[in-house]
Amino acid sequence: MTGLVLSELLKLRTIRAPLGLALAVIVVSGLAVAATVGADALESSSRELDIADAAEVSSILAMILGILLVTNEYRHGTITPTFLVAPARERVLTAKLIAAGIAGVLIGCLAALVAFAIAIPWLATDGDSLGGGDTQVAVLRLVGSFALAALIGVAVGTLIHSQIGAIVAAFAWFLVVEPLVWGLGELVDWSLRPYLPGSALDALVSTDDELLSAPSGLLLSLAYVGVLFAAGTLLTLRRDAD
Amino acid sequence: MIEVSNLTKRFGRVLAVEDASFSAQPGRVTGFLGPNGAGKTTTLRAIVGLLQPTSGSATVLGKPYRALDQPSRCVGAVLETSNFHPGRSGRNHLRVLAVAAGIPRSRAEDVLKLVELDDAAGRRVRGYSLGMRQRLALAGALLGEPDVLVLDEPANGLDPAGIRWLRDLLRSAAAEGRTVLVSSHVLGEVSQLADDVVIINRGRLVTQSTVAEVTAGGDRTRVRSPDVTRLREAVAAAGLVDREAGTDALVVEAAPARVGELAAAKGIVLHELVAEKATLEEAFLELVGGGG
Repeated sequence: MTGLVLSELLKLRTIRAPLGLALAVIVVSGLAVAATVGADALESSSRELDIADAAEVSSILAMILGILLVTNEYRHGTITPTFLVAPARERVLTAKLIAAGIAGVLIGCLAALVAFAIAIPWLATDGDSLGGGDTQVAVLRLVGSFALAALIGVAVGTLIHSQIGAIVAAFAWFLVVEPLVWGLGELVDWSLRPYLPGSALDALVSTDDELLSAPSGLLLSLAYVGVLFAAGTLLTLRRDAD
Repeated sequence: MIEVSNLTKRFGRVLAVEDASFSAQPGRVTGFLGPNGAGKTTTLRAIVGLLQPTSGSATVLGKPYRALDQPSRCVGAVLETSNFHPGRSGRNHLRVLAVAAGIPRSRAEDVLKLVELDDAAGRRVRGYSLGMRQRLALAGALLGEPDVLVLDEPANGLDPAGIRWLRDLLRSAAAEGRTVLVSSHVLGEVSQLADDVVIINRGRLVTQSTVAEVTAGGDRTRVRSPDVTRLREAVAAAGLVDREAGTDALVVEAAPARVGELAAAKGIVLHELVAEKATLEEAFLELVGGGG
């Protein structure tokens, strides 16, 4: 199993896309945090968490990394040599899940680094000080949300082998459908909204009262990963490999 | 050792392979022949566990591929030429496979040298020619020093020197006692390379035998003479079958000695007297029923 995980990590290190995604995370999260701090929008009880919430906007890119880890194999046909080396497909997919989790943690750390490297000095000039325990908790939650997003990406990839299809589905769901449901919610009031996957993920770094608590969001997100991944793995085991 | 028993694979309404049984033996190169769409690739993919047979089975070294303990050390397979991420270098492609298989990374350098790709190893596969991709795929198959090689059209995209190199490589693999199963639709290639042939057409096995048996046929002689009419009479009088081959030549179903003696007895001048062997191509076309 260790070999399979190392191989998956090597797959990510030997192409350019993950590097591009990491750079995009730095830019997007950096801009989001700068905009939030600059607009003086840190009003909630935990300013550290508000900063993390702003930086979390790029976690969709960690999800795309997870999607790529699976769908690249089908797009370029490398799934054939991969399954030749390791015919136990569930082990290959599990290795991808673990590798994506590790990559998600790394990208999450990058986002956290950028977020607080911008926020701490900026607020310090206004005489505000960040840091200490609240910051550590916020960083931990932010990193966790990136790792979870990457896991969801792998699960989506195992279900939808088409790269374009999987990315479009992820964007459509997390950036269009769920925000739309929340928007309509003003009209229809739908109490199940906090249990949607994107909302569960957001709960990790949000101070919004309408969302679940962070631990509940974490557990629910893991449950989503488990169900999607199990379904995708069953499909992959039953289908022919192509 | 590869054994295929009553293998059937159905894709929806299409029966790609129907009840095929054959084997490939260690120490021999087995050519797997058939026209395009005959079911060669389907059969090979079933052998290495990428497809689930509808019925029947395929085993390698006595086990289904998926039950092998360390498949990369048992079987090396080349199935398509394009199984690479275009942005990854050839060397890294091999390292990814080696790490997954628990094979030392340094082995990547060994096989790169073996397939004569070490100069291009650091370049992205995007810039590789078809021939280079074939070599890289072959390098991947050789990583684990497997006892069994399964190759689908490995000569595609190789230049004549590359084909010769491939032939030598596969012959020496067989000489070391490995089992080599290699599919092709280019018959000339196979007749120079294979010991045994398995011929498949429209999903059904046509024959399995040695190349020598398939090409043996009866004695056949090509004979040229300025007096072809009299020669023809003499051949017919001796009860032999012939057919015209141009204005001054015949092909007679008999050994050259017999044809020569007949001509001498009648005092007929001959300009050419050559033994003809059926080529694998002729035998193949006969077996699969013409154009394929």
